[in-house]
This record gives sequence, C-alpha cells and structure tokens, in this order.
Amino acid sequence: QLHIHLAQVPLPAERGCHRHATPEGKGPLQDLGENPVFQSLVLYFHSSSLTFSPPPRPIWDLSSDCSECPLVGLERKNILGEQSLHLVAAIWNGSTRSIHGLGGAVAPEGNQKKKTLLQFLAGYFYDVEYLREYLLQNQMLLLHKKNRSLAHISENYGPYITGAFFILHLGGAVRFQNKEWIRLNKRGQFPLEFLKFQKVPIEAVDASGCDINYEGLDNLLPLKELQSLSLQRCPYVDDWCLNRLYPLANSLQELSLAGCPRISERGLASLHHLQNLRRLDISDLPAVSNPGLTQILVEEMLPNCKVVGADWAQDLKLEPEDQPQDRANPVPT
Amino acid sequence: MFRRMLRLGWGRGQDLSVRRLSIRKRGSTLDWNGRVSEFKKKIRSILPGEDRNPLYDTSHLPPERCDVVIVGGGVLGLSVAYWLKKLEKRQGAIRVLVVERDHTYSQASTGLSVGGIRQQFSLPENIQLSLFSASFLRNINEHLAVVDDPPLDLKFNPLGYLLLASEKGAATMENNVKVQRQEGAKVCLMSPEQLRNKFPWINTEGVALASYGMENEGWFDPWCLLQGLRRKVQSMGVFFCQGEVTRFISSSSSMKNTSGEEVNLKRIYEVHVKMDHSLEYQPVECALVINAAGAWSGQIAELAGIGKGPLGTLQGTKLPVEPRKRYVYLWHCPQGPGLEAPLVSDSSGAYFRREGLGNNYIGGRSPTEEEEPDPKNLEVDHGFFQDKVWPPLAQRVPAFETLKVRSAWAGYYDYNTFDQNGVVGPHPLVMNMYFATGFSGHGLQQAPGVGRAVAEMVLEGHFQTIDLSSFFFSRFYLGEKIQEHIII
Repeated sequence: QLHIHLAQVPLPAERGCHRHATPEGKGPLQDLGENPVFQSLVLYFHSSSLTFSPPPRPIWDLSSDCSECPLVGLERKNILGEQSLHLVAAIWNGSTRSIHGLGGAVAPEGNQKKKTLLQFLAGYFYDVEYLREYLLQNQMLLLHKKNRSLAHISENYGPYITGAFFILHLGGAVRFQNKEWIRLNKRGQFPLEFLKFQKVPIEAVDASGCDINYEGLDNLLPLKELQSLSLQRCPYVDDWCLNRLYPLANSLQELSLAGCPRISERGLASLHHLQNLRRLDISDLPAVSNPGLTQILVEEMLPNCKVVGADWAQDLKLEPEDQPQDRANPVPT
Repeated sequence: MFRRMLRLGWGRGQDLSVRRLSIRKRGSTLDWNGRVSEFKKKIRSILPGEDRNPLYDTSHLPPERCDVVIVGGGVLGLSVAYWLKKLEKRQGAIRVLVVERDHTYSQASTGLSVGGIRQQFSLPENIQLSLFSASFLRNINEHLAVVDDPPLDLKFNPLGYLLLASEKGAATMENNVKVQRQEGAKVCLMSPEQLRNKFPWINTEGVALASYGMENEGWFDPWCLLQGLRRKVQSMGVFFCQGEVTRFISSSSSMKNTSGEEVNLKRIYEVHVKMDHSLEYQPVECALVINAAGAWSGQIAELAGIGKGPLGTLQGTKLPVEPRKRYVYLWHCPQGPGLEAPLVSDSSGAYFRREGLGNNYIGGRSPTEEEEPDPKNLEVDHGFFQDKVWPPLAQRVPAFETLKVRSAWAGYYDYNTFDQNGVVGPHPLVMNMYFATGFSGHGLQQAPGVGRAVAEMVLEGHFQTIDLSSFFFSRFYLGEKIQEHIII
C-alpha cells in the first residue's frame, strides 16, 4: 500500500509543467509515455518506494486507508481489498460468479469506473477542476456555518436553550430534565415552547445523523448536567471531537458513537477522561482497525463502563468460500 | 505530424538559443564563451515564445526563472510553498520552486521525527504557533483537499503531553502553565496524588508537579502531513526539483549605516541548482530565496556569504543552526501502560509514548552537551538506551523494568545553539534570503504556522496572524536570547 501511496505522488506534479506544453493531452500517462526521462523518473520512484519503508516508521497501519470519505463523496481505492478480490475471482472463475456474497463484494470495483459528468470533464478541463474545487469549498463553508457558535443566543437565553436550539436546528432531539423529548415534526419544524425552560438543565441529547463537527461541540459543552449523548452515524464527528468531551466528564453516563465513519481507536483512547461513563456504544466503527482488541482495551481503560458493540468475532471474518463450512460445523455438534 | 514538422522548422530558427552543457567562466574580461552567452540571452529576450527546446530536452531541469526558490522540501519548506500559493492575490501570480536534495526523505527530519504536537512551551510565540498548527491539522482535509484524491488520514492520537517536574522545576512549570493558559491552551496542573489516581502505572517519587495537556495535544503521522502538503502544493502548480543548491550568485553594494560604518548589502539574483547524480546544473533566476533546509540550513546560509566577515559584526554573525543527532527507540513491554497513556516526559528529559495497540512504546532522551553524538551519520548507539534512557524510565514507570528493544533509529534536529528557537524572516544584509529554520525539534508541529508567517512576510512585508518578530535573525547579532525552556 505504501508503494502505491508513494508512486501516485509524482504524477500530478507534472500537470503544472505540462500545462502549456501539451494542451491536447492532459493525462499524465500520455506525457509519460512520450518522455523517456519521466519514465525513468517513475521507475525511480517505484524502486525508491520499495526500498523506503523500513527505517523511519517501523509500524505502518495498513487497514485504516480503506475508509470512505463522506465529505468529498468519493470512494477511496481499496487496494488491499481489490487484490484479495482478484484472488478470489481466480479461484471461483466461471460458474460461481452468481454467488450472492461475491456479487456484493465486487460491486465497489464497478463503482470506481462510474464517474459523474463533472468528474469526467475535470480530467480534460482545468476550469471544471477549479469549479469542483470551488463546490467542495462551498460545501465545507456551509458545514462551518451550520456549526458556528451561537454566542448571541447564549447571552440572552443561557446555555441550555442554546444547546437545545443548536441540536434541534441540526435535526436532532433534546430532553430537558423530567420532560418529554423534543423533536422536529414532520414538516421539519420544532415548537419554540422550550424557550421557557431557561433554568431547566438538559439531560439527554440525541444528535444521531446530524452534521455536527468540532466547532459545533462548543454549543454542547456548557451543558454540565448532560447524562446521555448520542452521536450515532454523525459523519463529521472525529477523534478531535472525542478529545473535547472531557468537560462533560462529571455528568455523562451514556455515550453512543455507533456508526461514526471517522472515529478510530485513537480517539476512543481519549475517552479515559469520562470516568463516570456507564454505557458506551462503539459498534460498527469502520475506521477502527482492530474492533475486538480495541473493545477489550477500552473495557480495561473504563472499568465501570459497559462497552457495547464491536463483536469480538468481527475480526475473525473468513474468506467467502470458508464461511459456509464454518456455518455447517456447529450443526452436527 | 504536421504540427511536429512545423515545430521542428520553427525550432531551427531558435538554434542560437540552445543551451549546451558548458560551464560558464565568469572572468573579469569577457571571453568568447561569455560573449556567446550574452548574445544568446539577447536573442532569447527578442524571440517570442517560452523556453522550448526541440533538440535538447530540458524538462528534467528546474525552470530558468522563478519568483521564489525554497531550499529544502521538508515539511517547513512545503508549508511555506503552500501558504505562498494560498495567499497570493491572483491564481498563478507567483512561481515557486522547491528544491529538495533527497526525494526519498531518507535523512529528512520530518519523516524520522516522533510527530508530537504540544502547547506546553514557555514562549507565547511558540504556544500560538502550536495552537495555529493544531487547528490546521484538525481541518487538514479542508486545507489540503485535492479534487479526486482520497482524504488524508493524519492518525492523530489526542492523548496529550504529561510533563513531570521535580521540586526544583515546579515553580517554573507553574509560571509556564500560566502563560499557556493565557494564550488559550487547555493545560491543567496535577499534584502527585492526582497523578497516581489518574495514571496508576506512574511512580510519583520525586515528582512535585505535573502539567497535562487536555486538548490539541498528542502525536500524528508526520509522513502523512508531508505527503498531503506535497500533493496539494503540486496541484497548486509549484515546481519541484530534485537537486542541490550549490551556489548563490549575488550582487553587493557597499553602504554606510547611521554610525558611519561600512556594510555590504547583498542581493541574490541567481541560484545554481545542481541536478542529482550529475554535473549538470541550472541557474535559476529568482527574486527571493527561502532557507528551509532544516539541519543543513547553516551550510546554505554560509553559501550565501552569511557569517563571512570579521567577528562581532553583523556580517560575521553566523546562522547558529547545526545538525544534532537524536535517537528514538521502539520497545515492547507487555505490562506497560494501557490505552490512555499520554506522551510522558520525565523531569530527567527522557520521554516515551505508546505506538499502536500492541504494547509497543517509542521513546528517547536528549543528550547533554558533553555527550552529544557525532552527527555525521545516522547510526544508532544502543548503549545510550542502556545507560541514559532506560534507568530514568524504569524508575518512573516500574513496568518498564522488563522490556525488549525492538528497533531504533536516529534523526536530526535543526538545533539552534543560540537559544533553541526558530529563525524566521529576512536576513538584514542578504536582503532576499528568508529563514524558516532552527526550530530544534519542534519544527514539524509548528510548520503550518511558520509557513504562514513567512508567506505573510514575503507577500505583505509584515506578520499578520502571529507576530514572530522576536524570531528575527538580528537577535544573534544583538545577543538577545529568547530562551525556550521546554525542549524535549
């Protein structure tokens, strides 16, 4: 993986140089084909990347590169996965193509070839590339705007109303102490009755699926009585955010992080500040490299907490052809 | 085909401008070679079109003229390039060339570092730089996003630094933490009692006070930052070149300062870039040179004539940056600290952190001035671990009494012997050489901030985001030390 990681790098470099030189063929491969110097350069990079890996960093984390990027909406090339798929295909050539599991596994490869029109055009025109960059930036700006600090509300109404407004605005739900859950109704609106609960603390927040990010947490951290926080399937919650939850350490008892695509074991390690935690849901985190081991280590770190999720057997997933045999085994015994 | 014929035909007209492999002599009298090259220059300026040469392929050479030449393609140099391109007024306004000697970065400090980031410094400037860098790294996929490329995975471990102080250093630590809090860093002080409760695996004997970073501190993958910057900078149209800067050609003019002394003002107008593994070189005309060569920036400064003069004058003041070798050891200890272990830095100067989930740890120690190893090569002295690193660590963390060293490596610090702080901004006499070097081991974590500061200095003429005017070169001449106390 490292090998490809490095070898990819020199190619876009030549774009800048060839901008004036070859207007008709922008693709780096075309340029490389003509030019023996670049060919040798690429070869050099190939060889150098092969010899490079050992000295500086002895441990390369292989698995964490395969995550999807929700921000850009593109899929990363799952290089390792692809290789193993090829192997499987070689063995199962012919009749077994229609096996359901295999068909599902092959699908991402097909997706890679499919491009949107803009993606296709960006390969030919720089202006389209700039346009896409601009759209990307716009998307990020929007996210920041959604998550900006609501200081003006906080001044007038206090931290609880601010937190509630922020979460409801993003589409989540809140519960004030001894009150009912407040959610959006079917038309995407929420009642403003909660404005009278200025002195009532919030005890539960359900932000599942919300676009909350690091800056947005500013509005949640002053909720000192928060007992339950659910951040399920939040696409922008990452390790940096988890590191920020320590002001809630005194009250927080329940935390759910299930399905967050950006949370890895590195962020989970920083939850050791939350010693009052009673229940922690860390199931289905794609960026965690060893879910089973991570769960054991987290349980060690938070001895009073029930850690749910990550099935330890998840690590022991077998190749598709082995699975039926394994399933068959328990039946006779 | 027709186009190619046309090009060949057109090219013949330009034959005079063909640059051949020849070493130009610069004598006092213009000889034949000199005349010819003058003539070529004239022809080239008259003829329309770019530097295209159908007969002699020069695409592997750096461009003949650039606005800014950055010497050193490590994380600092790339960060300067990134901010220059980012802050330029119009897209493509500045041509930037990054010259890097070794594209595998086998000896570069960037890849060999432990990759820590902390705000626990004693100088406000350093704290601000680190805070800025933390926010940069947090949003790294916004800053360094390249269309159609996969997002970067920085592998940031947000576990903080835990600095321990003995009875003697407790007061200083308290003062430092006060400064850090003023600057906005989230650092808390811990008593030995609290420390025992929080991290039961630490032996608190001899510890009077501990400071622990709650936010924005930890360690990350430096290689990822380097590759991300490289990728982004390349997509922004920065030129890269694998080569070595061998010579600066500068003009100098004699001037008198207010007290009547004569000073030599210099201006670099050409940089000779020697290609890797060949005698071929390319003179690059430039307006600015940025010295980001890390541990070797002292040599680069000397090439530009800095420090060549009578002692005690501004001309004779050298750039006090030299390479220092630091060892990093990786060991395995099954009973070692668990998942929550921060980067612990003992009062003796030894430090360690967790690496991965398999009970592996990385650590080392800065040697004292007397036991400084020879920085000529990157060989590891395993005796140093036995004698200097292991005893204090085993005393601090009893579990480390049984451990097995798995591997070790060495890397360079760009060590500023004057006050262990960075050098930023222009040289007072060589007017168009800017520095971004000398950070003595915390250059990686401050690179985004320093890059921005240097770019602002170049483009605007003054610092805008973070005021780094105390890091100017002139402090070496004036003898004003701004000491950084916390060097790990």
